[in-house]
Amino acid sequence: MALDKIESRNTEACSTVVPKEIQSDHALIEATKNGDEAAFASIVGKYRGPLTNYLYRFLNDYEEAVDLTQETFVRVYFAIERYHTEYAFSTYIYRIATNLAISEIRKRKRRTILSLTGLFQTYSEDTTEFQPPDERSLPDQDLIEDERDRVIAKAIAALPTKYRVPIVLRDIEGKTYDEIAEILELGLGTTKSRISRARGLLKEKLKHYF
Amino acid sequence: MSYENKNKLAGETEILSSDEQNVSRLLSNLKRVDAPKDFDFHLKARIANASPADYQTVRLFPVLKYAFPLALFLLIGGAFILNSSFSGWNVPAVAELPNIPQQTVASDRDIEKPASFNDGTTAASPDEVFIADKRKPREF
Repeated sequence: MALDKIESRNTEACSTVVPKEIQSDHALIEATKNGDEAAFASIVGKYRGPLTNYLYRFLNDYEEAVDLTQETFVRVYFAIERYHTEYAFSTYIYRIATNLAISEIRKRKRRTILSLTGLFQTYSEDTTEFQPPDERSLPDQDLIEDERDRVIAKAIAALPTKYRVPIVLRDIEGKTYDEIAEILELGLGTTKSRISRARGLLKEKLKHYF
Repeated sequence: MSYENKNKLAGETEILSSDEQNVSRLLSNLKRVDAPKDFDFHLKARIANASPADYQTVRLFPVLKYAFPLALFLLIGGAFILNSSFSGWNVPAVAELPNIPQQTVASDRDIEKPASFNDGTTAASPDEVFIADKRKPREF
């Protein structure tokens, strides 16, 4: 198996200067704390799309993704005074969204009365959980028509939560390993290991599309 | 945004197998969904209808987790110490003997004679009483 090395150039992340994006987020947060509603609206405008996409890919349910994205912003709004600028706002808001999504997954499990596939499987960390497919139509018809996207989404939804979260953050949202480790409050090695494991699990289901 | 560009922006050097690369590429090429157009409107309504108290939760559980066992420990320990302290005041250092009036050990001669022989004289020995009965005729 040939190993392809992906090289990338050094970016401004290596420098000690705070990125402009983070400066902008902190400035908006400070303005929100001072009662500037427009500043909060700017934050919402910046993160509503990425969060909706992230939660949709995580939950495979658009309506639920929108609902949890709104809930994320509500929580950010009411806890704005407790936010500290020691870490990036992006990490902060993604962590809130992730926790809400994980809670939703747990609620779904409790609602499951009987899992027929579970009767014939032995429980292990590698077992992919059974998720009923979301057969409802998506608002964007282009997405519906793309069969490959649907299969990929289904494969992602079948991943265990601990593998699903980091792989979505990495390969879909484009987060760095450090950012993912900070969002999930995991070590860097554990984060990389889980992402690698998630790719291994997805490889079996998606190899037809390679 | 292609997979290669994302990694460049991330500033990371990553060595992946071809299969891992393919999986990563498939995921990164998924079409992105966006929030609905009325998202901001519904969000404002949600914030307006929400109660700040529901979201400003003080984390009591970490405090209770330590406060309750500590309080229990102090309560039991304090009760034990107080009990030991107060019970020590009533117990003398040296046990005292009960105050029993002293009595001499009675000898055979000091046996108290019965009431029927109480004629003002000192009690006689059993032998003397027996002998006295024999010599003295009874009076009826």
